[in-house]
Amino acid sequence: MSRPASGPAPAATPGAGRGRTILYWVLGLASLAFALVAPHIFTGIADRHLLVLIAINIILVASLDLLIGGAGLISLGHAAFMGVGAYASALIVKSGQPFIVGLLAAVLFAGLAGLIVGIPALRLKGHYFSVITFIVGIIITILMTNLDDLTRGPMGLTGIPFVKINLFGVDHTFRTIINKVGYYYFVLGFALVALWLRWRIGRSRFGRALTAIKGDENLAESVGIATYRVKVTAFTLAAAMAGVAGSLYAHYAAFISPDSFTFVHSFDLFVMNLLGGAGTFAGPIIGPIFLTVISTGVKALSPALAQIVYGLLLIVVIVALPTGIAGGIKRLSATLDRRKQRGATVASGGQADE
Amino acid sequence: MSNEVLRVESLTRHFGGFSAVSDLGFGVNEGEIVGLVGPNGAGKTTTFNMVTGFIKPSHGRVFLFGEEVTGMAPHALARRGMVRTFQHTRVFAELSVRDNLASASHLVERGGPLRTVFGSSAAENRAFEQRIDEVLELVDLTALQHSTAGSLSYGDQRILEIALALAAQPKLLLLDEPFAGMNDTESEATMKLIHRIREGGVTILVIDHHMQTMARGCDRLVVMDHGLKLAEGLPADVVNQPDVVSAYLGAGDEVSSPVTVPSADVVLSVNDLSVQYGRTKALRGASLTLKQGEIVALVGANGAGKTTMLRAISGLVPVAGGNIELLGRTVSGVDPVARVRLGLAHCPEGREIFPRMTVLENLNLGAIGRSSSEIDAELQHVYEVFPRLSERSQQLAGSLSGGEQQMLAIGRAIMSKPKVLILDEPTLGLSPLLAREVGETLMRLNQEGLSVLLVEQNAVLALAIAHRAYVLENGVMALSGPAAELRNDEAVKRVYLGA
Repeated sequence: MSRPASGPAPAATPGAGRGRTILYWVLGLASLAFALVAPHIFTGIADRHLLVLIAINIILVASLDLLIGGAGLISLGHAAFMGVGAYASALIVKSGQPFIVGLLAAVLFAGLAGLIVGIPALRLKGHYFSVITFIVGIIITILMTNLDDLTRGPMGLTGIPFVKINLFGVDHTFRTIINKVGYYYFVLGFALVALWLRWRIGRSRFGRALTAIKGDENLAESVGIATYRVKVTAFTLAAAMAGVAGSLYAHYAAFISPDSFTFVHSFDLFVMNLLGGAGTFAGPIIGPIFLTVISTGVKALSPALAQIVYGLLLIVVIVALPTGIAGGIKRLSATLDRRKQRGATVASGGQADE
Repeated sequence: MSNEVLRVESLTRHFGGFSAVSDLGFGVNEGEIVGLVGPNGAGKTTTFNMVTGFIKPSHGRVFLFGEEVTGMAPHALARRGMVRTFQHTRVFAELSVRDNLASASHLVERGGPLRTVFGSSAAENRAFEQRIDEVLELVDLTALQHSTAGSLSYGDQRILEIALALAAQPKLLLLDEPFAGMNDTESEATMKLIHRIREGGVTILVIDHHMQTMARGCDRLVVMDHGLKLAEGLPADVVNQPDVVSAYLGAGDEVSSPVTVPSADVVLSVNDLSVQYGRTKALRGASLTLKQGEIVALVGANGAGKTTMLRAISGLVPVAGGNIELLGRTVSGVDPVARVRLGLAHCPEGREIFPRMTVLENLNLGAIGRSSSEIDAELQHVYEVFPRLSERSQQLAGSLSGGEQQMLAIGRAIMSKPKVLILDEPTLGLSPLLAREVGETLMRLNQEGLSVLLVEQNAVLALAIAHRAYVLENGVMALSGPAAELRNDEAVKRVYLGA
């Protein structure tokens, strides 16, 4: 029993697939090489500061993309979980524990916060879920302000120790105020792990379950996916990853306050994810770079203009690039592929006629 | 019984005061193909939703392989071997056919954090891909595996949906209207597929109202009407039971014939109309006319194109060919609002009232753009025709009973003081008594000079009150003539029952 292939042509022939894979590897390695030399091209202290922030944001967007790109869950309070991680890590390390304990505490507390928020919030669907995450994000920053015995309230935590690690038997402290390059590489390592993890999850059974939930939750449920549990797991995992970013930020800036983790930052992360391309590998890299460069550039020209450009950008992305910059490029290359294929068919037909 | 796969006992579900399913009981034995049939609104899908855990029953119990599973979540039931499909096609539209199946293979794929991070073994991956290949082959979608699911034809999407259920490797498969919107050849092919699936050791419960296909393909039928079990047994025995026949054709003998005499003026004429949804041809060169003061019934099985015809007349779907003349004007390309201004009113299927607005607000919406004195006059008229609406004018429309909601929908349609009224299944889900009331109302409005085009499942009622009728079959006009003659025509019976 078979029938002729009708309908649209297969997305890509095997040959084109291999060429595409090679291209992706070349692009990936080139980007990695650029990331490695970047602090030596941009040597100003402000530029290097931006590089560190971009690397931290890549971790945050990669984790947020697990929800938005992976499961179609628009979470608007992601920065709050980063904040939980930042406070947990800062307080633990200030109390004399080594950085690694602070980092683990960040993962644990941010993940726990994610679990506690996720359990009720994920009972809701669509916009209602988004609104709840937005509100919970605000509530968490309010808690940071009001639990002042622990957090020193709006004054924030100062004098957070720098990261001290033992490298080949030699103790090294990242004194980020004087030298940002070493810490940039340190954070870059975490960012690469985050991107790798996001990519791996996308190709796993868990990732396919998320894709199914994004596509049609009732259908996912009917083929045996425990949708609620899968969503809570993803939310917890994303929050824990945001906690890592929080810890890295706290020991970089040496100062954190509730203002560092407001809904404005959550919204930035959301825009970075959308702008870069939700559900794509390159999206969580492109988004943070693009938005950071644009907003810094525009702010340098005129701070008032920044908000307007930001708003316009958002509208343009939603209307013209619903799958973000990475998604747009993907679509463009698929269109070119099809055109090439059609060209090839016409050419071979011509030869047969001769 | 040890080989009983599924058993439901006194299953009941109320929605508000309305019982969608009452005290239903039946069983499915291992290796059987059982059909759950019944006209629209009989409670078939509600039964499915209760059995598969999508809604909770008000009463009653469900047993799967002898164990009670009432109220369990759908995914837990899937894990126990019961998987369903949906009435309105559900596939992962953005993914390729193959990726669709990969996502649906959740239950047979092994997971865990280590596999997530480091990947599965090569052997596991091979087995996984092989299972997908097997499913693709069984349903004959291998050639389309790299196409995006959303770009498939409607028929292929329906097949893919069955494939998704199979990817979960069910022991009991529940199919919700797999033949909906399919022509005879496609239905036949799908029934063959269902038999191939059964040969693979899967027990099947299927619901549909295609009596024809179901009677031919199922081992046993359970017939439902108005939430009750009407009959159960071998297909050949069931289709000839008088109450099954009347459930399908409707009981409308008590309604008197039309008393008005239509004039010769044509108010609506549809010529050679074609409508396409993607690749599906819903209408293929269908024509009809409606004269001033006439009631015309348009009957036919589900998916024949009746609703599409009405939607094309009111401009809600684009027309691929042919033309429509309304009150002497060609209206192709004229937008729906302008057609209403010309004197057309469309009372859609499922009533489409606004449940959170009051009865009065709903009625006023039907007269948007008219002066307040005109509105008052029309309102008086509607209240005269439907005294019940006057009593309930301040009540939220959502709190009305099904019959009252239908009256409201008709009332709203005539608020624009139309010359031509087209109605889509106004008796859907109504009891015979209420259905008759709707029929009598339409006759009364007709006596006041209104021309009516009526689409009805309840063929007996429609043919009783109409002057003339058309029978639509797979997008083509199969038959037309005086309604009184068609009432006794065997062809009408065939369209509905395949008898």
